[in-house]
Order: sequence, then C-alpha cells, then structure tokens
Amino acid sequence: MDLIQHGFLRGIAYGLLIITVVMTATAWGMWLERKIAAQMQNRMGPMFVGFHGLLQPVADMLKLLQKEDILPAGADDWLFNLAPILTALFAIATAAVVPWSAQIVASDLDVGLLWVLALGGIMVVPVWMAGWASNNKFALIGGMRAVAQSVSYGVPLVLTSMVAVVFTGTMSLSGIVQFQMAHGWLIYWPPGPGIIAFLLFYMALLAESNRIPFDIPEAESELVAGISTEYTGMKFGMFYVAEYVHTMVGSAIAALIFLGGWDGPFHWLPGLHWMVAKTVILFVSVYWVRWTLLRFRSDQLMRLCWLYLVPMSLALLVFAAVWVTYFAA
Amino acid sequence: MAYDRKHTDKSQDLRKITAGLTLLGGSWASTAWAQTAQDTPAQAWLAALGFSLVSLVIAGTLLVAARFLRVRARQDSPLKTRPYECGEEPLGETRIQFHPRYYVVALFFVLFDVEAAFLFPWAVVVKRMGGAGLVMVGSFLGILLLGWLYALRKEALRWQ
Repeated sequence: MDLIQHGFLRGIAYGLLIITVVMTATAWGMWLERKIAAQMQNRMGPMFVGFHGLLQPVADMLKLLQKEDILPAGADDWLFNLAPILTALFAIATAAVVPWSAQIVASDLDVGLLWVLALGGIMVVPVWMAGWASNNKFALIGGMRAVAQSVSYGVPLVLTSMVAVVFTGTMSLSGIVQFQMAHGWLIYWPPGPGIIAFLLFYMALLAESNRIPFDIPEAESELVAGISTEYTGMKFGMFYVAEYVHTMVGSAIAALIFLGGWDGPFHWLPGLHWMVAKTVILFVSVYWVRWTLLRFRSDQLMRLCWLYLVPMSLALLVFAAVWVTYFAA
Repeated sequence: MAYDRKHTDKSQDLRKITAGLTLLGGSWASTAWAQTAQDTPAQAWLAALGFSLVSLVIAGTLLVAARFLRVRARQDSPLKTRPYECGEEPLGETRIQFHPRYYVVALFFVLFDVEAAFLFPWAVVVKRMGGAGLVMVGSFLGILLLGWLYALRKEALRWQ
C-alpha cells in the first residue's frame, strides 16, 4: 500500500482516526467525570438527556455551537481568536506520537517524548495569549498564574520523564515500552526510584493540566474562570476540550513511560486494550483526586514545586544514572 | 448449561470475544498498516506533521461551524461587550504591572529548562558514556545545586 510508505498521508489517515476516537472518548470522559463527581457527592449527575444522561455531551456540544460569540470591548481580536485554536492544536497534536499498541501509532518518532514535552511546554503561549487578549482582570491574573504554575511544574515533569529516558536509553515512546517489556515496568523495576518518579510525574501532570489540587489559575471562587472568563460558545468549548484531551494524553504518556504501555501481565488480551485500560484508569484517578482534595494556595504550589519536587527529581535522575552505569545488566 | 470441554476450549472463546472487541475498538489498523514500527525518521516527522495538520483542521472546523450555527442578538448593546467583573463597572487599566515574583519564576524556569535541554542528549547515552559522563554531568548538576541553594538562602524560592 502506498499509504504506508508516505508518512504524511499516513499521518493524516491516522490523525482522522485517532483524533476522532480521542475526542469522542474525551466527550464521554466528561460525562463520566460528572457521574463520578455526582456519586461522590451523593447526587445523580446528568440524568435527562438519554439513558442516565448518556447523550449529555452531544447536547452540550450543540448548545456551545449555537452560543453567541462575544468579543469583549478593548480585547485584542487576533490573539483572542487565535488562542483557543492553538490550545486545541497543541493539546491534540500531542497524541500524534502516542503508540496505542505495537502497531497503532500515527508517527513513531525517535524523539517522541521530546515532542510531547515540547508541545506541553509551548501550551503556555496560547494560555497567556488568552489571558492578555481578553482585557479582563480575572483573565489576566489567571493567565499569569497559569504561566507561572505551568513553567514551574514543567521542570519536574521534564526531569522525571528524563529518569525514564536514562533507564531505557531511548526517547522513542515505543522504544521505552519495548524496554519495559524486556526488563519489567519502570514503576517496579528497579524498585524504588520508578514508583517515586511515577508519583512525581503524576503530580506534575495534575499541575500541568490545571487540576485540583493545582487549579489556582482558574480558582472559580476568586477568579470566576481564569483565562476563559470572557470566552463564549465554541471558543470556550475548545479550551474545555483541550484541557480534557491534555489530561487524557498525559495519562497515556504516564502509562507508556512508567506502566509498560501496551504490555500486560497476560497476552491473550491485545495490547490496545491494556493501553486503553491503563489510560482510562489514570484518567479517572485524576478526577478522583480532583473531587477529593482541596485547592493549594499559590505560595504552597510554588514551594512544593521548587523546594521539593525539583530537587527530588534531580536526585532521582542522578540515582538512575548511577544505577544504569554501574548496576544495570 | 452443559459445558463440553472437549469441543470448546475456554481460552479460544476468550480469544474470539477479544478479537471481536478489538475489531470494534478500531484496531483494524493494526492488520492493515502493520509496518509503522519500521519508519525512517523522515517518514515519522511527516506523519507527525500530517497528524498536527488534521488537529488544526478539526479545531478550525469547529470554530467555522460555530460561526454558521451561532445565534446573534438583533440589537447590540455596549453593556454586553463590557469586560465581566461580576457586575461592577470595570475600574482602571486591565493590563497592570505584575509582582516581581513572577519574573523570578521565569528566571528559574529558563535556568532549569536549559539544563534539561543539555541533559536530554546525555540521558540517551548514559550507559555508553559511563563513569566519565557521570562525572561531567555530576559537576554540572553540582554547580546548579549551588545556585539552587543560594536562591534558597536568599528566599527567592518563597512566594511572599
């Protein structure tokens, strides 16, 4: 088939397939979150649209599409309109290098992890764009906080994923999984640093996707909705979707580099199922945390990151390097 | 229900079920395009580019669709476009000056991100570089640690 040889066309074909699946999964991920949150608070959650509110995401989408599009007075219209597109682009494009199984991968880049981290890092640009362009104080302060938090927690995120690179000696995501299939998942082998690195990565991931306890950038009790305060209709919807896609792809990355990706304890179940199961479990756990914990203050956030997470991840990195140099088989 | 072990192997049943689920799950791609794993870097980059293009098109399409489907008010009111401040009249400039602590965070970020950029190439070849690489990176990290301790003593890491 010609399609295999031509990377660009395959990227487009896989893009159409994977993005559709990821976006659909995300839409019902939102429904699932609302249901879980409702159960935790002894409520029913969405019940009216379809059986147990199963069609709620469709209804929400239709509603958002029809909403009036308001440009606030004094806003920078170019930046204001560009920000949601870029946010969605960066969030979704991350999924390009995620291997959902040994074969299902749109682009098996040899620097896949770097692609993910780079796109995650560049996310601060549209976020700040939105905060600045809205001409709204809540949005501006929210944008500032979001940038500060996201660049701070980017450091432990990069360093802990570097721990996985040191152990496996490759930056290709499928290479990392293949190493784990041969030597055991990083979360338990070598014992100790893997699970700590995973926990640090998970915390940084929560912070990167602005999830409680790290959601001070859009703390609704003080900042209304942070950067998305002035956004209406589908533009608001894009920020919303991008946030969920970001969390979903982030869970997939955590599953890939620490939990063995498509590898499973028994092999009669195909790799895709293991990968999806791990991703969904991590995705749900993010919401479990979200509806259980309280919000950190800004100063607590910064202290946690710079005083604890960064030195810990650096120490882990050194430990991993020493282990790989002298002890690994 | 009678279960005849001779004719039906349990694991085969499971295999059938999972094969069906796999088909539903969309992994038909795995049989059709099983060659992906042996990409050249150029092919992989092109594929990543194509994928990004699709995400851009999808994001754009949603906005364009919203443009056609949206409702518009018959009369515009200046109140509607006023920045939302919980119903109060907006007071003063929006684009205000910021506390310098944000600047300090940005400085730290640049420092540690450049460090990460230097460390990534090393992280791939740790084993091949052996002890020498460890000493080099160790001294690099040591200097960085001194800087970090200095910042700690100066209370720059605290967010007052």
